[in-house]
Amino acid sequence: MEKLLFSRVIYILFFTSLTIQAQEYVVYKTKGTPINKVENTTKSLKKGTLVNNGAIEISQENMALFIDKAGALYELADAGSYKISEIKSHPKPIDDGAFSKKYFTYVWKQLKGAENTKQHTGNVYRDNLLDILVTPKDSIRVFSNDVTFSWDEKNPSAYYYFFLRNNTLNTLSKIGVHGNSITLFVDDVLLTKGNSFSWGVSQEEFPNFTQIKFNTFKYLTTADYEREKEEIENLSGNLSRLGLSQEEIDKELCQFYNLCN
Amino acid sequence: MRKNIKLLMKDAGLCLLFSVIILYLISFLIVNLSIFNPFTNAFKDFSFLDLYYSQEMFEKKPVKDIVVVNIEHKDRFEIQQLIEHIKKQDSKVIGLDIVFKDRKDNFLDSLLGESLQSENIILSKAFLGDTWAYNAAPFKKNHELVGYSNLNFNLKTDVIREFEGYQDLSDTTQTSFSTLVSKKYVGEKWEAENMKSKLSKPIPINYSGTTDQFFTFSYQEFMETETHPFVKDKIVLVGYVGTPHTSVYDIEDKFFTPLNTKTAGKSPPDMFGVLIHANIIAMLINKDFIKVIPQWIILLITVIITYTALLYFMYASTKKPVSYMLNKKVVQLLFTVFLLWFSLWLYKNKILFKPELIIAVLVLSVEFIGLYKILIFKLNRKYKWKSYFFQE
Repeated sequence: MEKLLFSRVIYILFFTSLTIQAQEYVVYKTKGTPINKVENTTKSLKKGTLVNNGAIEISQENMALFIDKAGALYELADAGSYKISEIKSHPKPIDDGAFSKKYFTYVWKQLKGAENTKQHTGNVYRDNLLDILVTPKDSIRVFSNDVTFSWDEKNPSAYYYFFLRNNTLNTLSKIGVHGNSITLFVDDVLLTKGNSFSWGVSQEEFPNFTQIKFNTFKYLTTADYEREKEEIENLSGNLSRLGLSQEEIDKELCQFYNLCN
Repeated sequence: MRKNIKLLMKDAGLCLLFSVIILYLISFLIVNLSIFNPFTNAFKDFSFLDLYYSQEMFEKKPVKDIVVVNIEHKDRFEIQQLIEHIKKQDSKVIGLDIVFKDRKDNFLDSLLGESLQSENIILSKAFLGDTWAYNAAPFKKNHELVGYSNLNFNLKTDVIREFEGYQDLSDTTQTSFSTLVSKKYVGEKWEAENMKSKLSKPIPINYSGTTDQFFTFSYQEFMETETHPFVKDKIVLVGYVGTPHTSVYDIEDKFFTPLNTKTAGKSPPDMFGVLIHANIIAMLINKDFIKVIPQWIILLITVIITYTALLYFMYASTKKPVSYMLNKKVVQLLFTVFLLWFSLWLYKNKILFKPELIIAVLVLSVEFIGLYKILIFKLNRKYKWKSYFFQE
């Protein structure tokens, strides 16, 4: 009897674990920066991220849409923390068109002649994104012990606020600095290997972040670097055989390969 | 009484014939006289069924098997890096909606050419009417892995509603890019003979949606993440989706589709070419085809409905002359509204039933009853022509 009970418990546990494992979702769309928290680590959810464990944290005005293996959509739009198993209970109703309603609404609008055109204004809108950032360039990968951030400013006494956003951990740091550059050294506080960053500068202490230019870069880990090293060495060798100097090779690697010292 | 019915039936038939001849002459004039060009242009791209997409009556379900990556204006080296990055994700098929027509840099071209040699990569070429735009020498590969990227061969309309999977071009049967990608993805389950006969003629595209319904990535979004586990065993299409990503203001490689919010009149094109390929591929791999009602059935229905309507309105014009005019207008309006609703409902259920001919013939035939009466009146006076309207 005990044996039978034990085998049944094992059987149930086995299938329960299979069901839990099967709960796997892909992030389809996000608004804001929803987070996947697994034990002590957090990562921001981006389109295409696979989530299968931990908890999803949604802040105010944030939203995440998930898709499961069958193609069904789930939406987490209210602020809070959700277990992976809870996603299933938030299906997003698919807009099946509400076919007849939409059709007759359209007919009614046509009969009323309500399909007027919009007001047209003959001007163009320009934002105030002043691009004065020099190095590191946008969308590059970096592997070195320090990074010098520089921007186009001739006056050495001009005061700037330097902003460094860690896109992986979703944190923002601000440093006041005179002149046109600042050098940061790799550590586990500001510059952490393996994380993605955006950086920008402003002369305002509390700028509107949608109005300043940010360059992004990925800080490679040693493992990442080693993985790509062989490929880069082959490439460097080929470029060297073509007659390029080491300086030119570094420049080419930075320009085409987005790998800059 | 019986004689009256016979005359009424004869008149309805003749009026239908008379209307069809007049309609044919009018349409012939409109199509062939340059003075009517604005009307011709306005109507040639128009279809009532476009309302199904433009008014968003379709089911907006995400397509999970296809991922689209934008190449923006990246150079060949960056594209090579992208291809290598996609390969690492173990996708089942990679389709490139790009033609590398000319050589640029020997070293970079050879790097890219090497990357493109994998068996799961499908390339494209373009038929330009009398010549082909092929990939340059470093990017050449087995011709069975290179398909034409032409979206339609119907030159009478600019709206991409139909697709041809196989075409006889340059004395050989060519296969489209979308067909090759789908065939590679489906593998052994691809019913070669059945699909070839089905796709050798134009078939309507069952659109799944636009950028919102597909996983689309900008170059940076895709490259900055080391692994994309969900891309495994999926189709990855590489093509142009605007700069910046999915920009509505960018019209490079963009086309008119039924999803355009404006069904007629002036509007910018609405869908990037690679997304049209993605829609076609989604239709092919899911076998989610639209059944087309043959033209002869449409003609038969047109004749039956119009003939019945003419019988009723000819009868009403003599028996209820006061309410006749009002009834005629109300019935024309209601018939048009409900027939359109019915054809859209059929479309929703994957049946293509074009209502334009029925609506045009019925509405105009009923309007021509007055003109027919004048003609019959003259025939009656001159030749004693017997008619339901003029009896002794």
